[in-house]
Amino acid sequence: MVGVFKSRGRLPDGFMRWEAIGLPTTKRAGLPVGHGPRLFVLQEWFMVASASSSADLAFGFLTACDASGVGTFGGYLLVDLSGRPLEFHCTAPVRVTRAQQILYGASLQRHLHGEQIGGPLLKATALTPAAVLTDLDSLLHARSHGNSPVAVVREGAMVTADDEASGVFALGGVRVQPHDVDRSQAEQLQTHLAELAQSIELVEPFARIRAAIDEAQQHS
Amino acid sequence: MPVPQSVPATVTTTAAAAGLTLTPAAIRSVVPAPLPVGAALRLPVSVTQPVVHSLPLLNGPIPIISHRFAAGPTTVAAAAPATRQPPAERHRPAAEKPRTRIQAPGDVVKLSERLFYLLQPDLETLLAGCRVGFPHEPFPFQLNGMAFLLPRVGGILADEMGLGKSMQAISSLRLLIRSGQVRRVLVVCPKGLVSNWARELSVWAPELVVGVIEGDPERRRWQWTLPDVPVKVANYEAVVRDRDVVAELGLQFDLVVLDEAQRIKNRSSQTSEAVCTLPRQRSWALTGTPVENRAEDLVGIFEFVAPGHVHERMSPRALGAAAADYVLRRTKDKVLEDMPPRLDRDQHITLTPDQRETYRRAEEEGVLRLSDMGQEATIQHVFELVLRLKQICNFDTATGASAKVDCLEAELEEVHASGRKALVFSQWVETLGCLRDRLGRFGALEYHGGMSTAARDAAIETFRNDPRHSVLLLSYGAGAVGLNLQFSQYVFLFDRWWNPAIEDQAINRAHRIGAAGAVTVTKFLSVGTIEERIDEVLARKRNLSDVILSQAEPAAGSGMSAAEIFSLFGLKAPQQAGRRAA
Repeated sequence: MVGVFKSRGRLPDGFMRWEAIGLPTTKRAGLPVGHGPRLFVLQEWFMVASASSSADLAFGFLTACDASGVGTFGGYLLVDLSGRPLEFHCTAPVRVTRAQQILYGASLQRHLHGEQIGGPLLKATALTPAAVLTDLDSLLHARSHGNSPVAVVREGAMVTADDEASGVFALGGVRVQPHDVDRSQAEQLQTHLAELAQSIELVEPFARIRAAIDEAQQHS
Repeated sequence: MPVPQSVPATVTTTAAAAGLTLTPAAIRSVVPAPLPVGAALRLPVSVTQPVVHSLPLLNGPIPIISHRFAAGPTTVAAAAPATRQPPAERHRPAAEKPRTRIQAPGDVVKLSERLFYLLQPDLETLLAGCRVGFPHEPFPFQLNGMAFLLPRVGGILADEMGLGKSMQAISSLRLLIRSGQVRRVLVVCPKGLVSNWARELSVWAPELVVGVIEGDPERRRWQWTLPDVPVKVANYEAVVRDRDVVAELGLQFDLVVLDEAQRIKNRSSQTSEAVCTLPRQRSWALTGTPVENRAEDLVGIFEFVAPGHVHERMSPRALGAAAADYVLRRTKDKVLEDMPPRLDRDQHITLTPDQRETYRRAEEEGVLRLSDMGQEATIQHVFELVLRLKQICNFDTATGASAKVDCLEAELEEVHASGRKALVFSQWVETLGCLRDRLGRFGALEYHGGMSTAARDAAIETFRNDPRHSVLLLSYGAGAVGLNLQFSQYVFLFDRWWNPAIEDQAINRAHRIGAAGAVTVTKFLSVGTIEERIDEVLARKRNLSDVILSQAEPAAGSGMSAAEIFSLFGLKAPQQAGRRAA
């Protein structure tokens, strides 16, 4: 492109406009005259010049699902700002015996999800996400295994005044509840998630994770 | 978050040793009287040996499977809030959300690659993220078509004519270019459709630079080498002529798209050989008629898409099963519930006395001659007779009388008076010329292969924009493919083509997406002539494509074989007559 096109005009951040020079075009519809190839739509086309820092943001989606007779799987998907997958990690199934269910009692879910599944998954990533979202309260307990803020998201935008006081906010039709230790970062979390919510719906990637776990299970 | 104290670190349980039963009665037997205050009971533990069971806890390491995906040089915009929807507007109830998932093709077996596709956002999200706009909102089935093409190295989009195959291919290649997965695309199409493709590309991918390969050899050579032109469009003839140039220059394409891919159904043709040797990563074929006459037609297209995957010895059912993952075929009646209706009617024409007499003489003489030739008769001889008879059905060669034209004029009076548009198809340019003279008062325009590309384009524009021109006369060869004439409400098949697929293509110039109302299709059939007999064969041939694409059992006699062509005149085909009608 260099030497053939030159930039012109102002465009949104991250974009540059290039105008064809050196090749004859008619004024109407960019059709060429004289020699040279018939080139269409030469007058303006867009290309990304460089990525801004916000484009480097990664977001984690963490969930767990039970497969009947097999056990509990954990899945962790990291996506970029446009929702494209960057990393995916999933666990082998964890089987819980009846005795373990009795022994752990009410603490089973948070230990299984938060410690046994969520913790190792958060540590498995090469990237550090700007935020980790989960659709299970029990996975909030994985927070201590990573440095990124963790929040639980649910469809439905009902947020009370009490919720707001505890850092809960609504975004794109989704209720976002940060982990207690991340309350102080709720504003920054909301800013980052607002960017992501412009590309994808915040609960949508969990379906992808479940589909991928199914596929991995069938593949094994 | 630390583990709560209520969670046990380890757990052991004891069970009573065998023989030690500490029931109240047993205790009383050992302890005959209450113990004095301060005294302690010492159980005979030395004779017991408790059994300890250890239960494993949930604290072992869990194997984790990890997949990392190359981010690629994505062109997704980093920040342009003004053009994105606000989050609140993106949210809709789950039941209302259209979701088009990109599925991994069946030939992708590696788990990490399958997961790569599964973990992609749905197509709607991808489009929103890439900020890919469309001049018109695509139909859901068109998004499905894009989701079909995007992950495929080889694929055949075989939608019925008029469903927007070009748009789906353009939008898909546009996404691949914008995501950096594809940089060099070659579109190969019939010569008459090059300008149509350029126009469609400018509509559906306006930001892409498109170069058309045309002109003298030196100029084409230069055009082939042009860098920084991500999409090049070439006609089939240019690809054949420049085959050595492409090889000599060492050109590589990330994607080659074949439009009207039935052009390569004959694997031994120069066109097929030239196209199949194009160096490429991805091969997409677009055709509304993947099976025109025989199952081998599809095998020919597969030679480009996935060489060796199918072969002509397969039964139609086996061929359909093998091709299933590579072919996406939709018909209007299945995907377009709100498509304007197509009204088909056969207009039975009684020849004028002059025509009838001329026809009778020609047929008798022709059949007599064929009979005299015996085993020397070839299918070419039969074709010649058929063509001669069909021409007489159009116009009496001696007097110029034509019952069809009389009928057509009457029909067009109404079309013209109501300000509507009509397409008239014939297989002969000469017939179109005669019609132009007879239909001058309707502003009849011609469109056929004998005209230059510029003249044809001008005819289309005039027909489209000038209300004085109600009729466009087209040849099947030039006018049956690629044209968007959905502003026409009437289609007349003045004579019949050998192949129902070609007739369907012609009809679908008008009956396609964007048609404002019902499209009326009138097929002229001269009573008691070869046209009626051909019509019967065409009706049977329509089954073959359905058989393969639906993997059903074939109906008997679905192709138009040499035997059937000879039988049009009650003759038995000689053994060497092996050709089929195209």
